[in-house]
Amino acid sequence: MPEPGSYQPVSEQDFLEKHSELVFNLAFRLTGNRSDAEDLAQDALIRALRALPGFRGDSQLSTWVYRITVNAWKNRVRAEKSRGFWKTISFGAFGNDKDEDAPEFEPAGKDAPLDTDLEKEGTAAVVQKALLQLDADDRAIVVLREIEERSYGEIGAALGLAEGTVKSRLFRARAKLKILLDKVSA
Amino acid sequence: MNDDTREKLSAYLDGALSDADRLAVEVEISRSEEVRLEFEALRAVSAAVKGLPKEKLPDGFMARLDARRFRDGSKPAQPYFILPPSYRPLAFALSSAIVALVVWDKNHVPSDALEPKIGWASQKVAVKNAAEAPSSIDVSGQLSALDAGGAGGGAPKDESFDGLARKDDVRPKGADSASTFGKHLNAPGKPVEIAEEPAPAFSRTPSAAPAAPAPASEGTLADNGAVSARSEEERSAINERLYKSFEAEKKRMGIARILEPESESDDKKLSAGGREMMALQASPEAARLGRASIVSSVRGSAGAKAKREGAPVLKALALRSADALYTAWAAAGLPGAPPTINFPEQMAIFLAGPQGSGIVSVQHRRKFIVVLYKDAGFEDSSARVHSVPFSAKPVVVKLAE
Repeated sequence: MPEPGSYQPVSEQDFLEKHSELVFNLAFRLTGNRSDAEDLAQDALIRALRALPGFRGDSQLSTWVYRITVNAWKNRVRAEKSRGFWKTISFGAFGNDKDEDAPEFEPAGKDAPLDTDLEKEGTAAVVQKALLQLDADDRAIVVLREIEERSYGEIGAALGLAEGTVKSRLFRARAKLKILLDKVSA
Repeated sequence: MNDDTREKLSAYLDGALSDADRLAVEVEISRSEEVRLEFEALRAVSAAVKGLPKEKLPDGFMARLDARRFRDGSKPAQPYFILPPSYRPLAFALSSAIVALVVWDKNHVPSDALEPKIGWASQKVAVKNAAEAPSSIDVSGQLSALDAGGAGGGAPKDESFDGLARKDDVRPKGADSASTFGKHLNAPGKPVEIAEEPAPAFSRTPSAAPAAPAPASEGTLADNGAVSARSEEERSAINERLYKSFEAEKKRMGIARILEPESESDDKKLSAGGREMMALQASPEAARLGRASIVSSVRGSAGAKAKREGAPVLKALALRSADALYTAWAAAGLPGAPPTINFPEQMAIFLAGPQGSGIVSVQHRRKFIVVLYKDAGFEDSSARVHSVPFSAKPVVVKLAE
């Protein structure tokens, strides 16, 4: 937590340079595809820029931006759920539904060299799909903790949850992810 | 292993336990194979998620963000378009003042424009709307002056407007006018005195216009609500307005169509009602018929069909005096005398149509009096006349089904 009054306002340009990629990454992990991620990231950044003049440094700027991004995403999820168009939930348990932005699995030919990058890409896609099976809050907690390496306190601040809640929900999310990944491995 | 232990393993993985809890968990992991495997599994999950690659910003992301911000209005193209926000009330006030000035200027008549100029025997007239307009504008003197000043006065000019104007301005007392002719010049109210001898309509003899003489050089006017034409431009403007009004009136009454029939079907139409109507209007007795409630409409699908097929298009007059009825009857060349109508409680609907045409019935609608006619089958000419209670409603003529 920054010291009260220690916050130095940043220009829009600096803000965008520092946080655009961070917001886009978070958006990508939350939505699971780049086009939705871009839309969400732009939405979040626009909201953040509008609110930036009112930011007084009560939390870290990045935590504040995470909160805006996660809230924007949760609003979308709610709206899409209510319309029945929540595409991200339509995968099924690693089902056959294809997302155009998701990496494709292609069988390697016999003479294809072992490609560790390709292997990594395949693993990443599996993990990403598993991640998308989590509900909105759990997914956000996992992403903020594992990818953005935020503390329980920061995650709680970003999501409006108590630290204890973050701790227990993170544990449950990991357990669920383990089950999902085990299914794929099997 | 219970959930509490598992939760502690998760927190241990994140380094979020107190020293005491951390030591306890470490002891459990070293002692229990099950706990150790569980911890390894959690760590593998965490590592898998941590291993997800960082995504780079898509190409053009910032440009699209800028465009979207601009579109959403959250980022102006320029810091200020013209003025900073604090100046916007001032800008609003200035624009309002400009609008008010333009409106005022459009409606404002400069006082000196209405003042008679020295040496001009003109009269100040300010006409803002039809209600304020003088009952008539007599430009005959002006026209006479122009004619007199023309090329020897021998060559015939355009149609004599004075005669036409007089004919059209004549309105029987109490009659409602359905015409728009000269509406911008003639207001309801004071009728124009007409000459004892009605001027022949469509006269091409300018000298036939009995008008108050006026000095030719000034183009002065008659006394009765006259407007002073103070310049060549004004005289031209008045002439043009009169001519346009006349043309519009001719068109409205169907006269323009029937002047020169070029085909048999045209002639059929003319002979049906238009020619008779024209004859009535061109008659020296036209003044006694009045211009009120001249109807030239044919409505309804049957009427439209009749028009398409070249069927006669009939017209009717609403006549409000016995005199007018006799005049119309005679002008139409009908034999004998018209039926008796109880004027003024009643009025006569007179159908101007071919031989054999007649009125089937007259309906009083909310807004109209509808005259249903047939263009054949009536031997008795009195079928051309129908008495109805006096009404100021417009009359619509329809072909009976």
